[in-house]
Amino acid sequence: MNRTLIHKELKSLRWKLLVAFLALVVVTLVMIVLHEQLLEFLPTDQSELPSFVTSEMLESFGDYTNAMWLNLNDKNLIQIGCILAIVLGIGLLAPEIESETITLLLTNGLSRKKVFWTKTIIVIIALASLLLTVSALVVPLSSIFGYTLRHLRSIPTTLVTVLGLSFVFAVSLLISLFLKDRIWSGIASALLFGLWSVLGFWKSTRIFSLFYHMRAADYFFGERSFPWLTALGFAVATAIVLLLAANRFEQEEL
Amino acid sequence: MRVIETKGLCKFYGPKAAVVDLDLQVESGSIFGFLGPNGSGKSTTVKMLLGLRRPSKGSAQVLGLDSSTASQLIGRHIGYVPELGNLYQHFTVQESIDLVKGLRPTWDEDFAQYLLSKFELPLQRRVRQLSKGMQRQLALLLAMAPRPELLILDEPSSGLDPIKRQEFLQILVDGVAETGQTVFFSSHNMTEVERVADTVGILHNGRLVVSGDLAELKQNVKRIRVVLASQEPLQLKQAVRKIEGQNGHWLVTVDRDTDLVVAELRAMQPIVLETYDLSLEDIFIIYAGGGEQ
Repeated sequence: MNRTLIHKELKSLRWKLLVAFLALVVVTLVMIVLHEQLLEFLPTDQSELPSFVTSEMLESFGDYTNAMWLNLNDKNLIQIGCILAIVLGIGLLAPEIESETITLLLTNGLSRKKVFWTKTIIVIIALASLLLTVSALVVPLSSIFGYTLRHLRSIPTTLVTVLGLSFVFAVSLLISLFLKDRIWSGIASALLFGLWSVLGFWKSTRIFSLFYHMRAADYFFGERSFPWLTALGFAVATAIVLLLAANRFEQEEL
Repeated sequence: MRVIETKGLCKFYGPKAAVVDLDLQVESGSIFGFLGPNGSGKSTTVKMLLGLRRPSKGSAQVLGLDSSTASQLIGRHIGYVPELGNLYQHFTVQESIDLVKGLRPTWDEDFAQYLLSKFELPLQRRVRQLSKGMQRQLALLLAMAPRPELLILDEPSSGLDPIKRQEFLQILVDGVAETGQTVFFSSHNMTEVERVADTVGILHNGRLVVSGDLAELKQNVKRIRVVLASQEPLQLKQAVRKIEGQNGHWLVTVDRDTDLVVAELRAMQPIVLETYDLSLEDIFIIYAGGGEQ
């Protein structure tokens, strides 16, 4: 890892990360502040709810810890995180290849391998830090508003989310290296993951949904132990896609 | 010592040949002007030298290193300015300088400050807010300040006004004189090349049509105006590059053995026989403009 390149990458990423961080913090604050008010709006009759909302979920909303996890980790963290992972993936190398700024790095003594892995690792660390920070921030923010979390399993579930989003990032990066256009890569990645998320809508197909596994819901609700296998699966899948992307970048004609 | 040497270098894009059997030699300490019309393969050649593109066939050695396998090492000893900018548009001038300075241990701060004052670049302004000429100057500064052994410049002075261009050329010449640096630069500006280059190569349709010492080239390539009493088509025993004209008025372009051609023409008892020196631009047009042989 080259220190100058790390500094340059962080400089390039800072606005994207800051916007995502602020969006997540605002969402978290809104959820904490409006927690009790939102409960009043929830229908008590199951038939008034969409089919994917189960009675357990409805009960969960009454519990602050569960409600926070369902609203933040299970929804906004994954959704905003997914958008961020796609934006970071398509923005990592394709725009640099397109604008030829990559040649400034490669003709100043950096190898393609070093450029690729430094940039990739920085993004994954930044993504993980951002999501884990937001997830951890729920604890002090909750206490400021007089709430206490019953347990902190939301933080380990965020680790699984981070690994899943790293896979989203890696796939978007690979797509961008083939399409070499930020807009088309963004559309292709959004379509792919959008369609993939549809599998999570039904009980029979949700096993195939990336986002279903990213939630680690069973662990959060105490029904199972930490999903090491899922985490390992995401890590291995991410590593494989990144190796493919690294190989693609190595072959790229600049 | 040869700083750049290519052997049978080829680059194909599908059926289209961009560079064909390029054998190029650039000696240490020389300023090599790489000339060619648009689309002749100059930039592709430069990118193959830098290891940014892979040759389809043949090899390219830069500073004794294979450009396909040792581009990282080559990058530590060269300075490169591409035809189109490669600067981060959202960076300030200072941030751009800091980036390259951090990557190059050989960065010469005094020289960088000297170039900065010469080019009058505003340190806190973002690159996207700079004029094209200023962006070019910044790219040159970033390429030159690490004091590389070899400077590879693709159309380096495009976008510079005449005064800045002159300053840049002077800096280039001074740098070579002071450090023994080798410069390989492509340009469309023949006056510029003629002013600073000591060696030239002309590329046409991906092929190197001529390469060598500029003074020698200018010595060899001449145009002879001859007026003969005879209206017959002019035919010469000596090989010449081109014969133009009609009705006894002829322009003969030669690229070697001028004296022998002049002697042969003199034997025809011409009414007029004049030999002209050619500018590099004329020579370029002869070789790259489809002058027949």
